[in-house]
Parts: sequence; structure tokens; C-alpha cells
Amino acid sequence: MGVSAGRAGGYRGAALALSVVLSAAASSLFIQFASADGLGTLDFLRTALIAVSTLWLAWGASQSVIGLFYRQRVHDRALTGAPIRGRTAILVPVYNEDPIETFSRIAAMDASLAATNMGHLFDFAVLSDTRDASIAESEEKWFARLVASRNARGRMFYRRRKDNAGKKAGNIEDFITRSGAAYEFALILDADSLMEGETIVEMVRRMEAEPKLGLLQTLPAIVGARSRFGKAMQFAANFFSPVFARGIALMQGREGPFWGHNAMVRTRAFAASCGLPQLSGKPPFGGHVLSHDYVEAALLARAGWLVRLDPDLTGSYEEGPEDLIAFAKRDRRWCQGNLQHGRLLFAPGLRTWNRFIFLQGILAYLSSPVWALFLFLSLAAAHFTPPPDYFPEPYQLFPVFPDNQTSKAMALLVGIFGLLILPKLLILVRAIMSGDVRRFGGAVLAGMSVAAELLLSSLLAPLMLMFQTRSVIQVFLGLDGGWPPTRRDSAIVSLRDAWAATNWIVLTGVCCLTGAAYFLPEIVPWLLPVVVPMTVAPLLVSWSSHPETSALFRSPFEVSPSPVLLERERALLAWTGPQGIMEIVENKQAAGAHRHA
Amino acid sequence: MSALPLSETEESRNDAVTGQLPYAPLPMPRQRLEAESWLLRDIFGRMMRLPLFATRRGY
Repeated sequence: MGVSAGRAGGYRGAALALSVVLSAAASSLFIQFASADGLGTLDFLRTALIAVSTLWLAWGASQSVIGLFYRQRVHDRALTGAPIRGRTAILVPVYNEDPIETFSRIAAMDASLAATNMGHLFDFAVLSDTRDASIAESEEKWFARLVASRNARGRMFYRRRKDNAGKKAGNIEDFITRSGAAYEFALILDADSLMEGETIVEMVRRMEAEPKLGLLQTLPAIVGARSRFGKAMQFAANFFSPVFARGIALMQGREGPFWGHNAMVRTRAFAASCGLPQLSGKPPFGGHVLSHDYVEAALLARAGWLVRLDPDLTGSYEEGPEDLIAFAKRDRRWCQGNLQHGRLLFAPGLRTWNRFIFLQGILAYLSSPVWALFLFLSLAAAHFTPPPDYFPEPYQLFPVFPDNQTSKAMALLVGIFGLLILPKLLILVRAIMSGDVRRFGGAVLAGMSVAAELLLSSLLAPLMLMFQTRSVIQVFLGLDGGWPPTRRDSAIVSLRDAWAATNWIVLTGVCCLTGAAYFLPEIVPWLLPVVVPMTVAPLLVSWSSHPETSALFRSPFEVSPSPVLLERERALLAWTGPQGIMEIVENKQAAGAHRHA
Repeated sequence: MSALPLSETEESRNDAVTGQLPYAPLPMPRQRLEAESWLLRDIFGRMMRLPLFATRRGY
């Protein structure tokens, strides 16, 4: 079912070669452009920065282009319907989450599993790391209701740790070391995960059919978004991400990804291979392994287990952040975790591809300060450029005009935007040709949604560049990001909150704009796409957090929700009827107070 | 397989409300992740002793 190592190597080589060629072409164009007035140190530095940046962009674009070539083979689904034997624990780690929201998902998954007639082979374990006493009390109360409503005594469990040593990885480890031998497989979820029973059963079938398969990852679709930002992300995740995931699947070989949730592990393989040590030194580079999922995937592969993403497994869902602040907060955590992987690049025995994946994760965050530095150096270079000398020789009769390099600068700009936009446009064209656009409201609406998503992501990109640059600087300065929970309710971000979170971005934008207008007025138009969003950052953050009421960003699950999504809505409604409504409000307030603390 | 005994790390009551997870321990040996080469290991060790990487907690 997976792609053979040889073919995966071919795809990897092709993607890497394409990226290197595009990066070299961009660097060559840039150095020609920059050399018009002579080459200086700044020009060499900027060329190096543009080479790194375009290499990263081209790598992302190559993955999606390769994903367009993915063809699902017939035997991918041949296992559907086969009986299963192994017992599976469904692990739901929680950390100060809203118990009603989380437990209603468990109720829905349990009902969905029951419909497969194989529900007796699955136990649920809620693994609480909640530190807030009032939320913990609420968890126990709602857990009792969950067990009663599903008649699940003896197959649903709840336990809460006294301390959250090792955070999520430690939470899972605590379960495995105490109860792991009772289960052949463990399905690792997040508090906001939701999966169809048939998908879970199919995952067990595939694990049983391939004894060397240590971990099976699904691509979770984002559901439940309400805000403009959330729905744009949801649309992008449902429209573009499957193609990117297919690209990853074609290149994964035996060393596929683990994204930390909506994935099944072979319990004994996981236990034998994934005991994470504390890294020497202090956080942020030492201490607990933060982005543990990538490391666990690498450790399983090191031990000879197959780690695989099956992009054809549908019926796997999660929720995403509803506003840019929540997104940036989560991103800050991931940034620290990914940069910590620098410690593990030379870990003994890891497969080369896993080391490369670590490097890729590090570059994902370093690319922002690289771009920021490139922009800064370009301003400096423009400032220090001497005025053109039309008469370089003494007694020269006719002036010598410097070569006009504008066309090269434009070609470079078009190339860079092409790397960002072209993969999305190709995905749209393919969806139109295959008829897949029907699930997104038809060609016209899907096309408008793609255009709107491109516009919104372009407006928010400078803000993300600033947030990520700050995150990288913070990590290198030794500021430990800790483990703040992500706000996942749909509350609107007020202008006051947006200003508090982004005033430093506004200040940077205003300084750049006024400085450029004073010293280098001719380059102001080039800067506008970056600095205008920065100067109106609070407006963008607040506006994008409001509910999206138009037909844009329609996702297939809004048009025809899958059974488990409907089941979850039913459970939530039943629990938060007239009697329960006060309780959910109290829970929300308690969770909100903690989250904003 | 027997009932899970209460442990020091567990705060919730193992009663009829929360259920009893099966007691079936599976050891998770610590894996080696630090580079074997003292040079590679020391790159980070030395870097973190620089003032730029001085650790301050509390994000």
C-alpha cells in the first residue's frame, strides 16, 4: 500500500532537484539585478538569503506538484470489510479543555464505532493533565454523564495525573507504561479530534495486515470553523492540504510523518522505541522534547518500524484556531519545538530522511527571519547605493546609461509569487477537471474562495512573518515558551485585544514606511504590500475573527456532514439542552478565564 | 491483567465514576537522542553557555 523505498527516493530526488534548480535560478537573477551598480558584501549576503528563502518556497511547491501525480491504487481500499481481532485503546489527552465539547466527541465516536459492530474491541481512555481544579471537577462530572449516556462502564476510563511531567508525550507514556500491554493498538487523539468509527476500524485492519507497520497517520480535515480566519484556514486545509499530503505520501517511503494525533500506533512498537529522554541542558533547547511527534516517528523508523501516512483514509477531523492570535500562540509552541530539533539532527542511528524532516521543520521557522533580514538588507543596500555615474571616463562625450535591471527584478518577483500561488492554482484547475469542485460549491464559488484565501493569506503573511521572526528571536534568547493552551472558542478578538497583541508590529510598519518615505521614496511602492498590512494589523486581526456569513470558503462537511459530525451535534445538543445550558456557560467561563490568564 | 492500583502519580479516584484502567504495564526504555560524537554534542553544549542562549523561564 505504501510507496516503495526506491520510488520514494525518486520522488524525493526530483523534488529536491527541482527546488535546487529554482533556487539557483532565483539567486542568479538576483545577483544579476544586484550587480548593476557593482557587487558588494550586502549583495552577496542578500543573494545567500534569497537562495535559502526560495529553496524553502520551492520545496513546498514541489511537494504539492508531486501530490498532483498521486493516483489511488485499487488495492488501497481492498481491506474494507475484513474482520479485526486486536484490542485498541482510544487515547484522548486533555489539558484544561472544555469537557462538554471533548466528551461529546467521544460519545459520537463511540456511537459511530457501535454502528460498525466492532465497538467491543475499543476502549476509550481520557488522560487528563488538567491543572485547573474547577475544570477537573467538571471533567469528572461530565465523564460520569458520558459513561451513563453511552452505557460504557468498563470500556471508558478517566484518570488525572497529579503533575503533567513530560506534557502530552509524558501523558501518553504514563498510559502505555501502566496499561499498554492490554492493547495491541492505541489511537492517539487530541481533545478536538473526531473520527468515524469505520475509519478507526479500517486503520486497525491496515495495522493487522502489515505487521511491520508501527504507526499509521491520517490527514485530519479541519471542521467547525466559524470566523473568517478560521473558515479560510478550514477551506485551505480541505481544498489544498490533501494534495500536499499526497505529495508527502509519495515521498515518505518507510519514514512517514507523525503529527501527534489522529494516528494509530502499535503499542509494543511505540513502547519499545519511543521512550523520550530529557535532553541535557535547560529549555528551550534542553529538557523535555516539545515537538515529540516528529521525534517519535523518527525513533520508530530507527527501530525498523514502518511509519506511514495513508491520505486515502477519510473521516478524520480536527478543529483549528479561530483567529490569528490563537494561531500565532500555537505557532510559538511549534517554533520552539522545531528549533529544539537542532539538537537531534545528529542523533545516533536516525534515517537520513528523518534528519532531513527535522531540518525542514527548522527551516519552516527560520525562513521568516531570513525574509525579514533580506528586506532589511535590501533597504540598507538601496540607501548605500551610489548615484549612477553617466560619465565614468574623463572627457567622455556621450553618457553611459546603467543597464536597466527592472525586468530581472520583476522576473524574480513574479517567480517568487509563482512559487506561492501556482501550486494553489494548479490544485484548483485539477479540482475543476476532476469535478471535485462540486464538493466546494462548484467551480465559480471554489474559484472565488481560492482567490479570497490567496488575498487573505497575502494580507496576513507579513503579520505571520513578524510573529515567527519574534518567536525565533525569543527562542534563541532563551525565553521558554512553556505550554499555553490554544484558545479554540469562537470569541471575536476585540480591537483592544488585537492592538495589545500587535502594537509592536504596527510600530515596526510605521517606522519602515516613514523611514523609507524620507530616505528612499522611490522604493515605497515596493514596500507597500508588506508594510500596509503591518500598519493595520489590529484591524486585520479583529476583522478576520468575526463570523464569516457569506458563501465563501464553503467546505464539503458543511454541505453534507459525515455521520460522526451529525452524531456529535446530536450529543452536544442533548447535553446542552435547557437544563444543561447554564452548566456549559459556567464551563466556558471557567475555561476562558484560565485560557486568558 | 488486574485492576490498576492507585499510584502516587494519579489523583483521580479509581471508583465507579472514573473506571479502572487495566493494569498491564509495558516498559518504555529511554532512547538515546544525543549525538554520539562529542564534537556534535558539544556544539550545542558550548552554544548554550554563550550569553545569547542564557535561559530565562516564563513566557
